[in-house]
Amino acid sequence: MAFRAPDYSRFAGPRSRAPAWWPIWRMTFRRGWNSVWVKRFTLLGLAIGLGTTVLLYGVQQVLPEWRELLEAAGEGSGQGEVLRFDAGAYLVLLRLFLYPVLLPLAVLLGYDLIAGDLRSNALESYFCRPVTPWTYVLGRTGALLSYLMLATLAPLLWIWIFDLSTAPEGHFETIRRVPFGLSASLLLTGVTLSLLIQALTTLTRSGTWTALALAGLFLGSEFFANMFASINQEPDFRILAFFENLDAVANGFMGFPDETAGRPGFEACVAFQAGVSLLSLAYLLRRVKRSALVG
Amino acid sequence: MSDSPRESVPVLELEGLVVRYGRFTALQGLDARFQGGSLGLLGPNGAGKSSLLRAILGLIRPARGSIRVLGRDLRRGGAALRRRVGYMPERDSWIGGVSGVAGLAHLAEISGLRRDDAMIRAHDVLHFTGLAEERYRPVATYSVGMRQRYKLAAALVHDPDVLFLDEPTNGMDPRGRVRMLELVDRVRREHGIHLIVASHLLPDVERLCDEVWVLDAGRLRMADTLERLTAEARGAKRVRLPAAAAARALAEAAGREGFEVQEGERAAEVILSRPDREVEAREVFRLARRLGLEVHGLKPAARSLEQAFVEVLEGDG
Repeated sequence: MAFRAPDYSRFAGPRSRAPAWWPIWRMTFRRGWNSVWVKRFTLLGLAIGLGTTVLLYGVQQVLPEWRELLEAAGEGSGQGEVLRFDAGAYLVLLRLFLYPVLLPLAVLLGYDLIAGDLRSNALESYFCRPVTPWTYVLGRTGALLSYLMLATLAPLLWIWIFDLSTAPEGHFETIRRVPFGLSASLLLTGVTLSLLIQALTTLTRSGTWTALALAGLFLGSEFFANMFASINQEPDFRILAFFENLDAVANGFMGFPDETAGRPGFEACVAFQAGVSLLSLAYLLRRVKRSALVG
Repeated sequence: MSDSPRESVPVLELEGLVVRYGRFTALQGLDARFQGGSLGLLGPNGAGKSSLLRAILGLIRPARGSIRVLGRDLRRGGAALRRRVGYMPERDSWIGGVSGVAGLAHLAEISGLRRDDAMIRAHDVLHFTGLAEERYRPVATYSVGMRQRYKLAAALVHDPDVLFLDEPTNGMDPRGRVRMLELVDRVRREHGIHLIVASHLLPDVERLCDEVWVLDAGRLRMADTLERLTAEARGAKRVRLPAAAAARALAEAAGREGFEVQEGERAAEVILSRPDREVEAREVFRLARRLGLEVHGLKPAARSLEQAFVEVLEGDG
């Protein structure tokens, strides 16, 4: 950049028409990429996606009829199970992305976004510009969610496309539901986690306390869900158990609802996550407004 | 001088503005108009200065009344309007996790500048405010004075038409304060940016502003130009004599001649005015010569902003 004299000058260039949430979205996204641990987990997700496709490609090259061999192996095991690379295999992959990638990423990226802004009073700088609390939350949450989807949904869909392009005719019917199942499950869980974590940060105003509160919430939810379910003899209380809830939502959207007795219903779990999202959003907006707009 | 127009529409118009925080009423029905230039909002702590600024910026929703900035109603064109104003808040405020220049470029983009322009402007205003050396450091590591200048840079980065400053020299050392006032004054004088300054530091307002609104307990006690506010009486003269006795003699004689006479701040000082016209220097000298008195000083009588401010708050304004 050329040297400029320390003088003020008026700006005469054209103004952008981009919405105000767009720069917030981009900065949040970039902040994620600049964090070492967030970058590592993102690369882990992308590496799992790429590694799986490389594996599939290698197997395809060495054993072009591997799909039939897999089925035959399943039948030969004598346990009555059919081994196929179908929607069930994608459910296993989905869980692989859900717990080791999406969950830690949501915490690592989301825990200090709004808490940091509250500490540095950045909200006042935002809201004296064309930014409303809605735009702000949209920018922050949208970026967080996009980041989570980039590290989870994108590699999963990449695997699906690769699988489809190398599979024999008729395979599409067995994996037709997969893109919807993956997208719906990851989006709902991603939105719930993004909003819940950010709502917690506005309460604690500290990254450390947010992480501790989340750990307490995840572990405590199992205990309380078990307690309520056994006291009331009502398995739907198990929707409160965080990990069980995530499992039930993933199973349901992928077309394998778990109807075992004593397990929470799919619809109840979806409704619970939607409810948590709405409550978190309402609380988040209220706190953001109160922090910057009054006082 | 910039070619920025001094709009014919008023920069700020308030009509029956009421702001409440729960049951507490911070602003009680303000009606006022600021045509343009530089305006100082004066008042003791809790008078409602910051509340007024925040209401003008749309950070607080008024309970009643209307605010028009640059001719636009805040309720209808709030977002578009906020692209044209810059605000320097009283509290420290910055974007965390990034360098000073990146945070500033981000704020410029939000205010409607394109990405490349935003980055160039961020560098420019940091040069202007004297933070060029520190621009790649996180703002959290800046000193108090640097943070004040950073807030000014943030208010200027998108090149606003109106600049709102809330206690701009808060916590600054004397040298830093003078430098900050110089920066603001340059922006105002050389580039025609309208200025609205809320401060309880009267010398700051005296240095920067042409017009003053005095607020007290949420009410507008006085709105006038600084010149009129500080002038004791139009055309009055402050006469300094060698001794208190001489001042008393001049006062008696002047009273007989139809002057209005007031005591000065010192015993050997007297302030002479005429109800209908300006007091001329030669008539003061003629009177003194007739009494055989030596005039040691003669200058237009003016009161300090501090005196005027106290008088307004005590109900004499």
